[in-house]
Amino acid sequence: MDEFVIQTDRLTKRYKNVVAVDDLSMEIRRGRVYGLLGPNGSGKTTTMGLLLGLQAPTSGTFSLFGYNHGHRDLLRRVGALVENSSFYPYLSGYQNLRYFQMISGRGSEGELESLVDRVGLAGRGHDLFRTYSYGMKQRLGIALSLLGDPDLVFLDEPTNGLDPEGMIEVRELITSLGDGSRTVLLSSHLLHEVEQVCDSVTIISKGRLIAQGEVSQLIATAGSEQIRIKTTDNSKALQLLSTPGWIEDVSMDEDSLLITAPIERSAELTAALANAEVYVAEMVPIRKSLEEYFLEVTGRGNEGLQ
Amino acid sequence: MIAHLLTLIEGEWFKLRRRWLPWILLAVMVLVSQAFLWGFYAVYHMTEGEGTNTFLSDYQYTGGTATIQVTCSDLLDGRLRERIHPLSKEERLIVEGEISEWGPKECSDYASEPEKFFMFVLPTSIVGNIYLVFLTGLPFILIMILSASLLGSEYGWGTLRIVISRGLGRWQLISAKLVLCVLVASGWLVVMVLLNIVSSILAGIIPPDEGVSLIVIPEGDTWASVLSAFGKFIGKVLYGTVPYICLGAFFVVLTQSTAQGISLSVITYVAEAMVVPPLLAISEKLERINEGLLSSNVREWISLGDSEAAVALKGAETPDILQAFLVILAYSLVMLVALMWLFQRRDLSGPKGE
Repeated sequence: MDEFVIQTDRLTKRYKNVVAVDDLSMEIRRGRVYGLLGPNGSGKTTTMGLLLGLQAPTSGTFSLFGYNHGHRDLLRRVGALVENSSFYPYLSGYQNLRYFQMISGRGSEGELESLVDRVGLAGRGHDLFRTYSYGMKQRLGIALSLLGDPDLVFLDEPTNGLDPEGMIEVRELITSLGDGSRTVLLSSHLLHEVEQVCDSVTIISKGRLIAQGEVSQLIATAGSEQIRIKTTDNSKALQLLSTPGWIEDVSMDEDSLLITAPIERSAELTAALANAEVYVAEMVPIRKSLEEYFLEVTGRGNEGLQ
Repeated sequence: MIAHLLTLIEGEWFKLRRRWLPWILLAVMVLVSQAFLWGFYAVYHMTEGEGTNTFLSDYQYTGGTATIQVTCSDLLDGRLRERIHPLSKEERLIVEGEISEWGPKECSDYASEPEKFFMFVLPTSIVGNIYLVFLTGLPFILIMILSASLLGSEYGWGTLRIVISRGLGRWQLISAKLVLCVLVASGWLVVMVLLNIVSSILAGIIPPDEGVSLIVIPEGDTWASVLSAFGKFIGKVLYGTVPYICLGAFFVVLTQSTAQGISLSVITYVAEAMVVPPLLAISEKLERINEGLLSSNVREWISLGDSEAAVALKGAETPDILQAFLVILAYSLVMLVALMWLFQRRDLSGPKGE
């Protein structure tokens, strides 16, 4: 019953003439890091808002932890950072967390200290929120989403405003969050971020579901992988590699060969060439990226995506 | 349920006590209350027991048999018959008719010497000044500002989304805020009472009143009756603030803005309490609408009862307390239901700015 932490069924949110979320049906299993990927304005934040009870769906239903929405107590198992981190400006970061801990009715002072440390706010926790930089506000938002050790964490663009070092820290943190039974739903328009951090991804565009599945499988379906090699005799290598059936295509590309074949058969490739006294000087696997997959399935340019 | 609500109220207080707003509003209330107490102290000593108010004109009549002069003090202290005794029967009828028009117009602001005295002497000073502060309407405006700000700021900062997304429940959150407003109003009253006690003690020990007793129970009253009246008054005042707390919150949910919510609440209050009643007074039929207005009912609800002056000026007409109670209840419920309905249905978006 609890296997799917989130299930949506034809979820739709309409604002007058704009359809923000359109007939969205998706399933998210427990204990993984899921990416909700889409360009700006694709409906990611609205989807999260619907799941968190901030907005009412125009039609469709959804369930959290196997229970239909409307169960207020279910949200007590959820931590969220939605869009920008909004807190009480006249309270310190620590006091803000203390307030949310107080109204949630669980946790200890010690938990707050460790959370503040964990998100890299140590030493600034007792400063007023209004004195924080954008990146620090985001860190506090992440700390809040982890308060009370929730089973499901929503993170909406969590690395917005962070410096490169901060981005790496936060991505490592997100990866570690999904290690146990906790589920993380990460919304992002950063393709490489989703590719690095997430096990599975749901791609939406203009509020509609485009694709859903494990990141590695989606990339694999995007087309065959390629290997670029430089040899001691490229002409002979070209002739030799035209024969094996598992090689789809071989072509000369300036001073190297471009081979369309599974990367895991690289060893067979080098052995075949070595047997014919052609030696590999350089070999580079060329993997398809999520970005290429995204462009393929959406059939669009990458506006709004980075 | 109750435990959850208490937790939310505690959380709201955790935030509110760290803001300037409730303390500034309290300072305003205290200043006005103290201004009344010390104002009466000053006026009492300036008029030196003359029993008249220098700002009020007396009524004069010259008849065939005698010339008479009637003051507000005569009227309110029941000396009218004695004053008009020298006149003939026909002239007395004329004078009584004229006095019934002149009295309410000229003497409504009149404070007799005992009334002034009891405004700065314990125990009557405790409630008397607070009653006058509430008659000005200022506390109702301040409590509307507080309730509007308590909710409106959350829209401005965008914090409502975080709070709601933690599964606290929308109506529970609103209820906690409204209850906290009532508790804050109680706190204001406690502070005003304590400071009135301190000021009354000071008024009794500084010159020229070193010899005046610090505590004077009015004739016909006892400690028990004074304390009972005090308790009733505090309860009534708190009940009277409830519709205004709901009004402030309602306009904020409607506009999703603190500034607009406060503006609309104050405009509604001013229109309802100060502009509409004189307009309704132009016709007897319209005057009945006045009985349904919130402000006039709240005024009746918190009134201290049949004071000497009130009886003289209103012809012994007592306020309809039950009607006032029901009207306040109706306004509170309507406002509360509308507020909850709107808040439950509305989508919550990001920060709207202050």
